[in-house]
Amino acid sequence: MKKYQVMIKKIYSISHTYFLWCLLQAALGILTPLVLLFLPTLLIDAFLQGAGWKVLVLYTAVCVTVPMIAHILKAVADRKVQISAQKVEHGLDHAVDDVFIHARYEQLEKSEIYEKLQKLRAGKHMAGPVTGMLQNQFFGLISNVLCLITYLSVFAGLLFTDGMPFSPVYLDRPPFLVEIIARSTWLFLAIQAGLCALTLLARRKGQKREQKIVENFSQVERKYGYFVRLRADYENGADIRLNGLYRFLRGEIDDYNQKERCMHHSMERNNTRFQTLAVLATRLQEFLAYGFIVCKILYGVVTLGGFYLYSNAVTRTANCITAIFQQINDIRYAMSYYESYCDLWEIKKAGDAVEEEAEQKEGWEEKPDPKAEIEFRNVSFQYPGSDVWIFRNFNLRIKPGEHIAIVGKNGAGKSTLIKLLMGLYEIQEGAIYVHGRNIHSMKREELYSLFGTVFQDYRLLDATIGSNVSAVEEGYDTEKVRRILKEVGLFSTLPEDGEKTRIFRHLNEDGIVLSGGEEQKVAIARALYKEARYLILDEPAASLDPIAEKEINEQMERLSREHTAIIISHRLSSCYFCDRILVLEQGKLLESGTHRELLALGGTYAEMWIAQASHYQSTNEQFVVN
Amino acid sequence: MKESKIIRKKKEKPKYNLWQNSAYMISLAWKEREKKVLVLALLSAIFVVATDLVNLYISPSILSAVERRVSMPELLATILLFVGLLMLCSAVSRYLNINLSPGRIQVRMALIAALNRKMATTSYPNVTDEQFRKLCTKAGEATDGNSQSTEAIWNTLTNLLKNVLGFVIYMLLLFSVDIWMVLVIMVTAVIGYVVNKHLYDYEYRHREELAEYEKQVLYIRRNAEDISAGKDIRLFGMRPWFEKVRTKAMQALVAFYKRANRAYRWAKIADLILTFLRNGVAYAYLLRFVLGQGLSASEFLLYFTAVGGFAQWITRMLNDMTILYKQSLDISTVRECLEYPEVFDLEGGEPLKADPNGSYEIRLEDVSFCYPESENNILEHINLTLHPGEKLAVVGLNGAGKTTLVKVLCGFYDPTRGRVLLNGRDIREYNRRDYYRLFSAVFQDFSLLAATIAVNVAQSEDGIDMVRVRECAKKAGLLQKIESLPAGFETCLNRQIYDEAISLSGGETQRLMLARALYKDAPVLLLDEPTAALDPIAESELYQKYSEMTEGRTSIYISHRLASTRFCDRIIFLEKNHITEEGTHEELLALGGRYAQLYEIQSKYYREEADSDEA
Repeated sequence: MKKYQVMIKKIYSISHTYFLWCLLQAALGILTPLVLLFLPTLLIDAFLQGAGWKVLVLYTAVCVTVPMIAHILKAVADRKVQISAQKVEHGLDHAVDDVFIHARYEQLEKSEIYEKLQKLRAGKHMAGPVTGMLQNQFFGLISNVLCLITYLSVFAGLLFTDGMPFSPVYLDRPPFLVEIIARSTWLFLAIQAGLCALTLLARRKGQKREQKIVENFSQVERKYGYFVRLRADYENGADIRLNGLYRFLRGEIDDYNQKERCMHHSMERNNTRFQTLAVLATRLQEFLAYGFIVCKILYGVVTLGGFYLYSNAVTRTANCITAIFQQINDIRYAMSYYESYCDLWEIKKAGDAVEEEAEQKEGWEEKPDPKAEIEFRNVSFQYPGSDVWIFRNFNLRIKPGEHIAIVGKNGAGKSTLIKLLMGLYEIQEGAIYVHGRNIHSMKREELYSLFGTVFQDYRLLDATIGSNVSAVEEGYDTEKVRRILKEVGLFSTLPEDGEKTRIFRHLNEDGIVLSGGEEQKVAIARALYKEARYLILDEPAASLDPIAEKEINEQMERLSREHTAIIISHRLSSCYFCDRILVLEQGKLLESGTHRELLALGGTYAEMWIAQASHYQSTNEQFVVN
Repeated sequence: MKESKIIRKKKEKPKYNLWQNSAYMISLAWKEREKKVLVLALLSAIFVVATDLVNLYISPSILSAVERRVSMPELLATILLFVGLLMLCSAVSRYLNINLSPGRIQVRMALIAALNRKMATTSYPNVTDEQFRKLCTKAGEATDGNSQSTEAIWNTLTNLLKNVLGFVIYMLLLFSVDIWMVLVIMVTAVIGYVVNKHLYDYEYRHREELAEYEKQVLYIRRNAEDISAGKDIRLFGMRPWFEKVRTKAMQALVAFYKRANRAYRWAKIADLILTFLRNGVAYAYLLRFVLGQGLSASEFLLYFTAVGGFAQWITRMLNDMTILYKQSLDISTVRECLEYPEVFDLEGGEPLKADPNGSYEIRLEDVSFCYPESENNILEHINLTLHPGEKLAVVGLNGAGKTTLVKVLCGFYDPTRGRVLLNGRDIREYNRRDYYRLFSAVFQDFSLLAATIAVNVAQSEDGIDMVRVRECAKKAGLLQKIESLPAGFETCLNRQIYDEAISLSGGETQRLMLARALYKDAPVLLLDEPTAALDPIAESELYQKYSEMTEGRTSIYISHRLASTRFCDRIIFLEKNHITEEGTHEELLALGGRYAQLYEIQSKYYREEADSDEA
């Protein structure tokens, strides 16, 4: 119930008038059916009593004009609902985007947040958009309940006819049975209620089983979604063709189809069993109602016009009840998906709470000291959901202004180390100090502002190069952007628009496509533009050509002592200039020292250096190390 | 420029019309052996109309029985008969309804399968073709749910059939009242349809505008949700930027909806006037008829209900037509996507057997290439022969066209000028898929399948030769890692799908790609920067094993690591879209050109060290 409240509150905060218009729409929607229930009754009675044509014209005119006016007003309401519905839909999407932009990074790394998102997306397909659910199901439910109340009060009116004496309108002497029936409205209503309950029960049971079937299917669904996305993945286009992967995709999709067919079969069986029962109960209700009203008419306590009223009311009541149950189930079904909204908002709240708490944690009042060392003190870390220790009691100090290289084999924990430093993950034990403060007690934004970083999987956006470098859409320092682009050696290769050149073509057809090396240069320029205290580069030269690599190396060499720099590289020539090289292996600091010291040590670093350098020696020396 | 584009878009008409698309779906259901879809649609329409008719007659009939003062048993029999009929019809309807969707889903699945096939196998240039990708996105949307056009059309067709049937029956019934009344109702209804259709057309044209805003919102969203982008967004504080773009797009969207709704208002008003006219006339006629002819209450009730119902059949029928029209547009998109012209000969062409031991000579003859919609040649007048068994290295600066050269060579793009020859014959004469079988490759973009490691190496789910998988993993230096995993080769990749899956590091992924390329055992091996993410030891190992790996095969190695080219038989140096230098490592060093210069730059640090060591 709480989740419904949260949803309603959120929607209300997006559009204050949405619910109001929906309510109006619903009210106008039921006006016409109600008028068309009562007026023909009056019309028939007037007709039978031989009323004049004036009365007939009046009633008919009402029959025509009331729906007409309702229709006009409803058109207005519809339009308002439509516009505010769009606002609500986009507002909800926005609120989800918000969660992702604001979430703490480690929350993004957990599959939970994506599962919720997936569920939400699935909901859009399975249950339709939220506003559709609100308008059709939620407000539909309200109108149906209102109608039901009206119909039930019509029937309640029948209770008064129980006591009326026999009036010989149609039959002279009604059989005794007719009299008994005509006088037992309460019994009739009780039987009707019982049948309603039966219908409800059957439907509920059917629905529950159906939900179970659908749930079992969701894992299959998830996998299928992945394969369907893969088909249109143009980045892998070459790969898919060369390896004939289509066969594989088809196999997976055929498999899915097979499973889906099975699911449908069990759903059909389930439906046939429970729905048939419900249908039969509803029809029995109608049958009894007709018989009952006929008895009333024969007994002379209900007019022929009343026959129209009650027989229509019976059919409508049955439909109403069916619709109400259906709508309740639909709402529940939709909410089983949409509760993910609430879960996502909860995730955001949890993230915000951690952020808030940071200020209360030990050490927050320490003054930031830019001259302090970076320190890893007894740090232990494992990835969320894993029980493998990536680091165990890890210690490391980096002096301000020091230029550090981290090397090591694939999987040694190099990238993880810098992510820990930047506070992208929570460590389990120990502490990391930056600027003399425990990063645990720093707001993320404050911490992030200290680092200019090029990640291995950096991401540029479809925007101008200037925006990408400055990380703001507009209002950046053009001169500075240009200077940095020149420094990284990219400016001269740009088209005449210079830093105003757009890159990528997702949004704009006039964007240019950069090569891998050029993209990397933009990413490096972005890190430099930030002028952060700490510069961190993860494999900056991986896809660069020798000239670009040299430029980056020289850039690093020139880098002032204002910056503390950490560079991760497999290209040991990039480490050459660093004040200190750290060799990591399986989360342990194996070696630490200058290039020369480490070579002299003859350990892992020396082995790596020789392996790489050997390929650059003259031919006769090649491979001597092996 | 932008304006002209919008005008062009407005003029764009769907390739197929409503009838063609309906016929297409029907014949598709027929071909897919889902004839039950058609039968069920027909039956369900009939039974819905039957239920309606019983409902129409039930009250008047019982009323009339009462009026005629029939005997008690007869009255009960009448009620029993009608209610029985009603029970029967609605039960059959319900039963049919329950069983409608599986067949319909199956037909939609057939379309999805066809789309999958098209997208996964279409000529490579189409993959980067903006227009094709747009069509794919739209076609994907039109098939990805039960309420999407490719499935919902059955509902529309069923409803249409039902409403036409109901319309005809009611019309015949009301003819006995007054033929003019029927005509007035019909004429107003047809006008209503024309107006509505026009307005729907209008909305469709503006869809493109809407798509433009939505694209921006989606782009931002995709990045916001992406884990790689997530780091950059946080570190560089790009949140305000994202929010600004979003807000702007949102405002544009809301303004758009306001405009669209304003246009829609006129449709509503027109509709309203017509309905008013229709009902007013109808009831007036009915009243006149009643007063003039002295109708019984039961007859009056029958006609009164029928008049209201008649208008409803027509409104619904017209509504169905507009819905059908909209759905037809989507189906037309699906068909256009499926029928998008193929650049290559994927089905026909001379078959080609990829014999691992066969000797294949590939020659580029005066090849120039420029990307579609671009003016600059990426390759210009390239002449290159790849001899059987040769180990070729391609080097050059970023953007020199190395990857493009390889993509032209292995048939992903046809040259704009010149020819690619396989053993002297133009590759365009061969079946293109057969031609692809000649190559195994490690590209810079790659796809890890959400499947086990073994499947990823073998690229197939069955008939996996585990001995070879092991061997290839070992050659690629991945065996140790795999054996350290509890599930070994059966470990799944992709954590988004399998809860127990693992994720590989960049270097490990690259090794997996290498193992995969080795497993395929094709005559030509293409390696595009295969060591970019490898550590020095692994890189060195790969170089040493290179000869062994490529034994008996032709290979092309693209790299920035100039040391890696030393074990190749021949090196070509690409610069500014041309091959500027060619020869062995020693020859090129002796030449003292650009290659030598680059080698000097790259090896400087390594050699300085060696020199100082010697000193």
